[in-house]
Amino acid sequence: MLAFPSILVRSQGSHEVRDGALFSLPPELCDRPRIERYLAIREQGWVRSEFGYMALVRNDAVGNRYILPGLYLADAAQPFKRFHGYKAQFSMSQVEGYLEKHLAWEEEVRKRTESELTALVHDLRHLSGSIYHSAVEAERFNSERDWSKTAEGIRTIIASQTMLRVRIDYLDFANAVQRFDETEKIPVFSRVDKVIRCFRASAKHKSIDIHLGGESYRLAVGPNILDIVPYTLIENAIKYAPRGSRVSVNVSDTEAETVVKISSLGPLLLAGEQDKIFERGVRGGNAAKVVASGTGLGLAVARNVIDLFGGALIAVQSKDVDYREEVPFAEIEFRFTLPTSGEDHVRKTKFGRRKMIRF
Amino acid sequence: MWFKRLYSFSSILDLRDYAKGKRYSKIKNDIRSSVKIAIIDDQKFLARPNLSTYGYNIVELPDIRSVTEIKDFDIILCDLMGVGKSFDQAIGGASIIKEIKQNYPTKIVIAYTAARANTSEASVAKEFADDFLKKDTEISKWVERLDDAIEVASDPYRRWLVARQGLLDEEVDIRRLVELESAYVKSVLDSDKSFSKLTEAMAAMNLGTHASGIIQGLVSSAIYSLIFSK
Repeated sequence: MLAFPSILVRSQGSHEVRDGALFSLPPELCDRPRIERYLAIREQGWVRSEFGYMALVRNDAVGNRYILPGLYLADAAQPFKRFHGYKAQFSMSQVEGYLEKHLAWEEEVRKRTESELTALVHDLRHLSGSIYHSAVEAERFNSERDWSKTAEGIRTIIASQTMLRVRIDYLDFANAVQRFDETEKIPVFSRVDKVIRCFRASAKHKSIDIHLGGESYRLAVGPNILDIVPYTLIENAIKYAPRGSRVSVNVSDTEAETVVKISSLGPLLLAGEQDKIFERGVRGGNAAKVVASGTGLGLAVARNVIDLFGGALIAVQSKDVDYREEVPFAEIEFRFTLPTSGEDHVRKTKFGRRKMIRF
Repeated sequence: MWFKRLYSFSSILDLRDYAKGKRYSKIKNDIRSSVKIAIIDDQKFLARPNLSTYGYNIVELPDIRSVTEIKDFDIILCDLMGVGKSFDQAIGGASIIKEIKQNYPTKIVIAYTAARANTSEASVAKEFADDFLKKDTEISKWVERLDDAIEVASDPYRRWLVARQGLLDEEVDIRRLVELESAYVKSVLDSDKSFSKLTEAMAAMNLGTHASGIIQGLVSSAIYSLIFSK
């Protein structure tokens, strides 16, 4: 909503008369016949209109026309009819500056929304394709009675569905953080492990070795959306790491926390970017050189999730710089810590004992 | 006298129905496997295992640095996001497609994307590509579109029409074009795999780099081994 009363004429032709958030027009300046006359104004800029009051017209980047009608301005010609209580409070340049800023803000919001929507459609269609093609493949192997390949196809379908679920959680969480107030105990290691399994195929395609080390049977308390964090960090690591490199993931416990480290060769973070990249809409300068498209949302959402767990998410990078196609790269570690809330005894008994027997 | 000389040249119209008889005598899988298809995608091409069972000869390329890397392929499938780093990054794969069509107009290029169809890269891709598909398109549609592309790619008449338009755009003299067309037609009718008549005619003309590239892109195609086979 604009501070001044306005008329928005959309590029398709429909229009909407909006009240001002701070100012209203006298009824004589905004009755139906006047609105029709304002709508007839085609040229952009200042127009002297009803009763000698001014109107400002501007088009935005997508062809919508904004009309601010009935303006009583301190530095414009005086209107020939006055209305009780309606006084000149602004100059032409103030109103112009205000509308310019508003249009620039709307354009920024529009671009951001478009970019988020594009990323969302891209991810959902990719996962839809993965589920579909894996299912067709599994169906073929099943008809050929190749049971091991059928099982492999089914595992890929389940992995793709897991990624789809995480993506939906991400979308839901990114738009309504306050709804995720129900908490439960989450086994950290197994969630990280599951996410890595989902990314094995895409890592392999880029000849990236993805390795999970360490162990932990600890639980963390928070909403059941923790997967978003390893999903975002591992997806980023694979996306930005050079072909043939390595992504290392390690899960370990300290006295009171579980620590998850995801390290890989990534575009060097410039001075000040190490914290800034966790803000909404911010991408590293070198990251944008490597992958042009991106919303700059992932890390901000990941940090929000970690905050709900009472943990911390930081980025640390090595000082050694390696140039790849003129872009500086460094080993970057994303590290998140989660306060411990007990242990997963069932899993510890099952897997811990198996380990003892093996060694 | 001039018209006698003119009539000594072969016309592309002589090849108008040439492909029909050739194509239908082949087994569909043979036709599919003789056409080299390149896929430019930074991610795993999910449809590949299923398409391979239909006999398509597919090679995956994670990205390309120069369009010369695809000169030996007849059909190129190009993703729009995550590729084209050596071209215009703002429009990704669409910049690759534009470059391919400008340098090798006879190549069939199919754009595909998982993203929305109304992005700036999709608009550019639609302008230059021969076809446009969504990434999660069902297999039957992929097969239909690829077979259509192969049909166009394996028709020497239609390929020359595209090449000829490219040469006209490069402002190749119409008299030279008549000579080149005649040499091309004779090469095809004689099943001359090396296109010696055409390459000789081209060498004698001192054509520009772009125009020469159009002809080289046309004759380097492996698809003629299919067209010329008995």
